[in-house]
Amino acid sequence: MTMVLSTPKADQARHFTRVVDSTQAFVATIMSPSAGARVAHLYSLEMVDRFLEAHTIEDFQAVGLRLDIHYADFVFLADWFEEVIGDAELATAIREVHVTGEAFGVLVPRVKRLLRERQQQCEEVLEPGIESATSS
Amino acid sequence: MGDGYAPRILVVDLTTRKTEVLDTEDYKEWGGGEGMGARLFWDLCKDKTVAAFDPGNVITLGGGAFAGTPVPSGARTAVTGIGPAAYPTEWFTSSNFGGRFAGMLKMAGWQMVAVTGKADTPVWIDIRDEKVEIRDAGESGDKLWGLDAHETQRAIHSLHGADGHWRSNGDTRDGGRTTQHPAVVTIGLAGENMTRIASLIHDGGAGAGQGGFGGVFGAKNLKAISVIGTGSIEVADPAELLSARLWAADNYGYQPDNLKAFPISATGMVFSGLPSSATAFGAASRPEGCMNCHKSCHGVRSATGLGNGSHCYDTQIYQGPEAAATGKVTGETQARLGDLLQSYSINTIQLDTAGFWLNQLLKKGLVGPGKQVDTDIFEKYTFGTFEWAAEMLARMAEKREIGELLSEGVARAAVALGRYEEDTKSGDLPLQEWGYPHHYDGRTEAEWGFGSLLSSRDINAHDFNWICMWTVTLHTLYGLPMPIEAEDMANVIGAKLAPYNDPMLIDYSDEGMYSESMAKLVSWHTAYYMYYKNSLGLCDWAYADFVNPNTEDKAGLTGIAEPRYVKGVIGREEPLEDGIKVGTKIWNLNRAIYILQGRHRDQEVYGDYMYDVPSVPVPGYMLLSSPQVLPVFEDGKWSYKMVAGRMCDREKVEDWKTIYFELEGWDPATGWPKRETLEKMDMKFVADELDRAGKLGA
Repeated sequence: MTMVLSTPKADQARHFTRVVDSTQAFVATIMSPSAGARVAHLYSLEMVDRFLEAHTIEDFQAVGLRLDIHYADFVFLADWFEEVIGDAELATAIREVHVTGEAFGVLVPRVKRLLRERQQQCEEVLEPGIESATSS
Repeated sequence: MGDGYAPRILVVDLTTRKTEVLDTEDYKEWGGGEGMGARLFWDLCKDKTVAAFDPGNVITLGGGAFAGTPVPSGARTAVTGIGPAAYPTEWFTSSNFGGRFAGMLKMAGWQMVAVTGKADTPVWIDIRDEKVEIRDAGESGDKLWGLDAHETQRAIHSLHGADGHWRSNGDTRDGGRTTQHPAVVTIGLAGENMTRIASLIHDGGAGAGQGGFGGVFGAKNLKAISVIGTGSIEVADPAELLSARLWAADNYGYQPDNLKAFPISATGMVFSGLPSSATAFGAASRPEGCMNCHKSCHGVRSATGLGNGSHCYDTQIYQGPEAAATGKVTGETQARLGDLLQSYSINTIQLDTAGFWLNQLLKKGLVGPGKQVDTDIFEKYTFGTFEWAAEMLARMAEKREIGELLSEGVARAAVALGRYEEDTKSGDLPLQEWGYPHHYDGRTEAEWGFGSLLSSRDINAHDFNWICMWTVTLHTLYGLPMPIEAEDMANVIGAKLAPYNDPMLIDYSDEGMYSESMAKLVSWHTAYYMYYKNSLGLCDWAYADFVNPNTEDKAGLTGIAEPRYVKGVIGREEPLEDGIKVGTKIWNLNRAIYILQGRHRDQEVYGDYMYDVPSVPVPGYMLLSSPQVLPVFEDGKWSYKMVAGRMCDREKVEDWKTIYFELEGWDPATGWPKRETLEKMDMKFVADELDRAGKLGA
């Protein structure tokens, strides 16, 4: 069962949705047959959500050798949310998903659900428009 | 009946502007392509230690016995010669591209073209059947110099009057009639400017990138080679050849009316894989393929026109930076950049590697006007946007600003900036071997890494990668039942690896990667791809087919198909084991050329990061890893295992090299072939030359 995230306060919401600088980026991978594995640096909660793609095996079968896998190690991702973004609750929730031991592709939609839930909470707290700040 | 070969080899000396004709018969034992090219280089290049851009360098182009015949996916053109891309030594090397060039060349009666010397003014070579003309490519002539690679092809098509209607090259009423466009291989600005990162471009999207042969064309003042052939190619046994093609396609190929392959997954199974021409960039596409291919992986994207013909790395370029800038990969950016890369004739991987490296240095505050890396590109353009990449490509091709350094390739650029040692150790500049950018990871896929380290470049030979890594990793990541269990995979593949026929060869465990079995795998693999693919002309996107979803036992066509093709085209009975011997001979000839260039085992070490940085993601640190899952034999049983996280062990790598050299019959102290090894392969002439150079293995 997926953990329910508590609503953040306004200052937390601003903090959780900020864009970090390049030295603090999360390091993800794009895997593709012709190009091998390449780095993708991600700088915010929103970018991680957009980067992760929920695919089924049928999606990959349809594109054959031109597939891309947008991969993020969920252990490292949880650590990044806790240590860099400062969102320990989201980190714990991702760890709870990961600890089920299910396959990456199965977990992606669940992790994305958490990421979106957190983004929506932050947007609601920060209404009317989401604010963001660059970390110093 | 013929044997698939065209009768003549064309030698063009651009210095004297004279041509010479050699008899193909004298070179047939080398298969064609890379093998024939290596032997031609051996014979024609008087000083094998010359620089890549020296007029004495000899560059060869051509296909194998299979090109232009109905062999499915057999249309590759190989390019050989000294390539400027490798660092620190410009090794003799090979690259290849698909399309129509090799087949068209044979239909004109030429098996191969070898080019030496340097023209004093820009020229192009116009081959119309047996007629060969060295033409003025400059302002006073056909005005090709300065055009991009696409414009050049259109201009040559126009010079031929190729408009899709019948025309004649001959003197008689029906002589030399054709409706075809000539097949043109050419360069854009990056080649003309003699960069080390320039590719050769053919048709819409076919290109030979690795090696840097575009710069060699530029150094020779050679803008293009064009060929139109109106003859035919005679094969030994047409009935057997057609039977083999239909048998292969019907039993092992993609089945549009029966998608039984799909529940198992087409991915990683290349011969049977879905022709993916329609899927790149998310745009509607008309499938288009190389001459006689059964798959048609290229695409004509009528919906957008962007990226026509692109079908390899160029369809997936710059995804990381774009994702970092926006969190998404658009497809359109890749298509537009693919067009630009080809028009400039720049090797795709150079842009991605340069971008990654400079961005790492940017974070360290080392990039900007007046800084160690003196450039304004990050200030004027946003990294990750199309505009940044387009500007970088322009600067590379024009040798302008930071592009002047990067046109030398990232390794030499790093040396010039005083960054090489530190950045290849940290992995900020991941150059796995010979200055070539990291592609597939030798820490995990040992056969790829070792094969590249002992040859001259990133091998880009996916034979085991498709099935052992991709198929297994994809099914692991998505939680699906494996299409084939590890033990079965080992048995199926092992049975195809004649003469070894040993399942242990695909043991990628920590112990297996340094074992004698891995030495045998590297030896077999090198011989296979050098003969069947780089020489006879089979495509890396279709072969080897070890495991196939369409068969009961999951055994693919490799081992059965190749001898059938040889029988049908060339007319000889040649079991796979004998073909591997030919490949081993080609490999030894290549090795001998490296040795004359100065190769010694002590030079054969990976970039430092391969030993010092684990292949796992480290937040805030470099990552060139992925969750790679491979077959391993541990505790007496086979399984699939995540092997990411491994580093190379320096001592074990050296020990493994010794095992490998002994297996090949090379001197383990130097890595040089021994006389008896070469003479067993009828290469006394090679042994004698190594002996004269004092470089024969003891």
